[in-house]
Amino acid sequence: MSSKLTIGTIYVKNVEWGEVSRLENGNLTLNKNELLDAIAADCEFFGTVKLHIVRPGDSTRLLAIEDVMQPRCKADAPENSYPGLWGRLAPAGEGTTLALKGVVVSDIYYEKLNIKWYLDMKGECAKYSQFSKQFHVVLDAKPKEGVEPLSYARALKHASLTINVTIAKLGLGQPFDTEETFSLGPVGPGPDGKPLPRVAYAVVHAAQNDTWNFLVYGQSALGFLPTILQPAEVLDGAMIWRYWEPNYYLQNENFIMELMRRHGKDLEFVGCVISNNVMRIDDKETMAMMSARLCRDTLKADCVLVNKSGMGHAQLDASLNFIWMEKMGMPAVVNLAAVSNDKPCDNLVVFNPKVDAVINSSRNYILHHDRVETLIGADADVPSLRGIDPWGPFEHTTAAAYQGHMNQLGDFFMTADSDLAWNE
Amino acid sequence: MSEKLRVVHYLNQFYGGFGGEDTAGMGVTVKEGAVGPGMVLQAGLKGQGQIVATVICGDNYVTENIETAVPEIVKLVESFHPDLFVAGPGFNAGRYGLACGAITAAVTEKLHIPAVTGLYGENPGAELYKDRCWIVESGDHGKYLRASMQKMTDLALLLAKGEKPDASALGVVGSGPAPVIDYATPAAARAVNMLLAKFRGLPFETEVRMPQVEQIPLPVLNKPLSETKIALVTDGGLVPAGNPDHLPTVNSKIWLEYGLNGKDRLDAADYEVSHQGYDNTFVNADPNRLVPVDALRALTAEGKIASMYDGYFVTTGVRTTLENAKKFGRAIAEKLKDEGVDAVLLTST
Amino acid sequence: MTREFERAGLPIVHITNLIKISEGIGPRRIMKGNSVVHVLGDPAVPCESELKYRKRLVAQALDMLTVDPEEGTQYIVDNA
Repeated sequence: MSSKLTIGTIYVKNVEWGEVSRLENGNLTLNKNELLDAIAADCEFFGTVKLHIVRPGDSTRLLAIEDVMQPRCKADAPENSYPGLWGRLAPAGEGTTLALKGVVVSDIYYEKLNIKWYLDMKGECAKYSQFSKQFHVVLDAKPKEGVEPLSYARALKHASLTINVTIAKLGLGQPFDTEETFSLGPVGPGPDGKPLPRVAYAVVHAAQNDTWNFLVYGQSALGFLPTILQPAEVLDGAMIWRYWEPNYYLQNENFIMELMRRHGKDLEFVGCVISNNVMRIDDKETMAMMSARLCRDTLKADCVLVNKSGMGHAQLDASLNFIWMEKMGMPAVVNLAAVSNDKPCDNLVVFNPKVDAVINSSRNYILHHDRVETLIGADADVPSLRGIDPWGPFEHTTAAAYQGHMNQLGDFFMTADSDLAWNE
Repeated sequence: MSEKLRVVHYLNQFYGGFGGEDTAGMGVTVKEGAVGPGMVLQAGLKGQGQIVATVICGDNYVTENIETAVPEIVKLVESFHPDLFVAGPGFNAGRYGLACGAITAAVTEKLHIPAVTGLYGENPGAELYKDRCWIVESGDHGKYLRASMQKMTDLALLLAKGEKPDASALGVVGSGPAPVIDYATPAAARAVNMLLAKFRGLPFETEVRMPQVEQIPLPVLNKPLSETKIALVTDGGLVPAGNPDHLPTVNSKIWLEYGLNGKDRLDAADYEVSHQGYDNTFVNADPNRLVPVDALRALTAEGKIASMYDGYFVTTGVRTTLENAKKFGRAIAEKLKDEGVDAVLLTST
Repeated sequence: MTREFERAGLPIVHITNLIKISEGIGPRRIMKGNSVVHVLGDPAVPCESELKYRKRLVAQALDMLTVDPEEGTQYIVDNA
């Protein structure tokens, strides 16, 4: 018996403020006051609160844009969306989930975070981000004086998810434009008559502190040991970063989706081990060994894809995972985002010759950013832009700065969201 | 193909026949056909290739304006529609080596044609570019011209045929050009494809090669910790008050040793910091925060180690050249071994 | 310098706050110190406590000398 998750997508091609909130033929109208009322409880933690609609092609730059999410809700029980964190507790990764595509909900974050990002909706550099292809409903809320960073982070994410589900619900009852079903049922032999290779996915995720963390059904991952999650749970809102990279990338986890799509075709996807990017070398070894054990003895994998969502330190965790997988008899391949032998701004910090099969999922560029007419998040501190006029023009590397260009898990603007086009 | 390969050759001002240091600032120029060592290259191609142009440039012009000079030269090379590019060999010449490495790497990465140069393995240009293009080990002297050019042309002809030679088998410096990555295929697909190939024992090419960090055998203690003699070394610039030996605050070309005379701790009044790279306040207030004499003495008295070397070694680790750092390390290590020291704690800022 | 000590056969622990840099250079044993400006100090605490703290760090560094990291890896201890 295996669970089945169906994601039904409705494409949105325009977003506007209006009197009546509705979604009709791809046109999304939102009543701003209704949205503000819906997040009133969280607004207790905020000072000024603004909501913006930002369009592809707007001369707008968003500073400190720290989360971007696809509006989604559980079609049969929207109150169970993002269970344990926002919605009522229920297993994620089964049933039907409605997703809107073409519009995203984005969070501007006014406290300190590990990386602060920015995004341009227009200009040459807009073509280097997958997020400038979509309309953004932007939650722009500053912390109230005296509010602790963690309280602000909790309230902001909660409010953002409220907006997220409220918008998604506007599509309920309407036909999907496309749908896809994810399920990991039993498989037969391959075309050559031999059993398909059993592939596990081992991914190291950064959980460093209260506001650089991932949550599983709302449970903080700080102190987590390696754990097995159903791949569809990751796609369906069981796991949320607060705050790290846009959760859009978990909703559309690229390695999980690739493995699920090829399940039964040229491989058998046996499951997913999630571990925590810890800070001391001996602990990293321990986590890697435990992950390898789960892959070999619980998932019974023949080979493993290793990935990471973290930065330099996490390269070490990922390579230790790789080495332990191979020590336990499972050939491995590891993805290290944007490291390379030959491009500037990219840093490989691992030097072990045993790591002999590496994917380098993306690379960085130095981009020119025009002067913009609108700057959202102008009061937010973006350390990489200190000393630079954020209105532009300026030149800057995309590395750890430009939102939607790439992410640690393997997405790259060049091939992401290929069903959407940039505004010309 | 029976057609001859079109070859472009790069030389510096000296090998190009313009002069020595006096012309090192000259800009880019072109001569038709082979020039100077190009004759040897032409012969080595054994009729399979023709040098259509020689690009010549001053070493200073390239290395002092590397961001603009290299693209300028690559554009010029491209205008000849070459099938093959060769630079140098540059032997052990520093600036020429940098130019050969940078230009050959740029031609490899931008023009995607076979490109080869020849450099002495320890030439800084080889160090920097050995994982970005083909660098044949040329030896460190012009007398090796014929031999190195032969190796270069042999490799070049192999590459021109479309072969993918194994760097380790060939006597090249480093591992050759970085793998070309197909970003148009999503990473997840590439990853699964690579894994399935690896699992089946089919050939695959990693997208990232681990850089060759020098493999030095791991030093291990040959006695229990409680029997060891430990020395303290720092690159935090701590010196006696008044800096009597004038340790510089940056780019130190010297290292120094100061005796401790059995002292239990370092007194703030006796020491100061000569190091521009960090705020010295805290260490000036208590030098033990950098050179932990008090802690190590206490631990010695407790028997954690047998004894402490009765002095410490210091240099300033700001913009110290790699060469000097290596020199200091070697000299201090030798002294320590003579003094029967078993292990070292090195404190840095 | 650390690599030259290792080349001469002397076990060495590099104590630095900037462990990333040390990792790149390659010494096999690295310990993270308190801060760039006081790598083995903690001015926030009273003197006596600071000496205890420093002894603890130095003792840890000495213990690291007895650990032999696996080929191709560095033994890094992070006190943060």
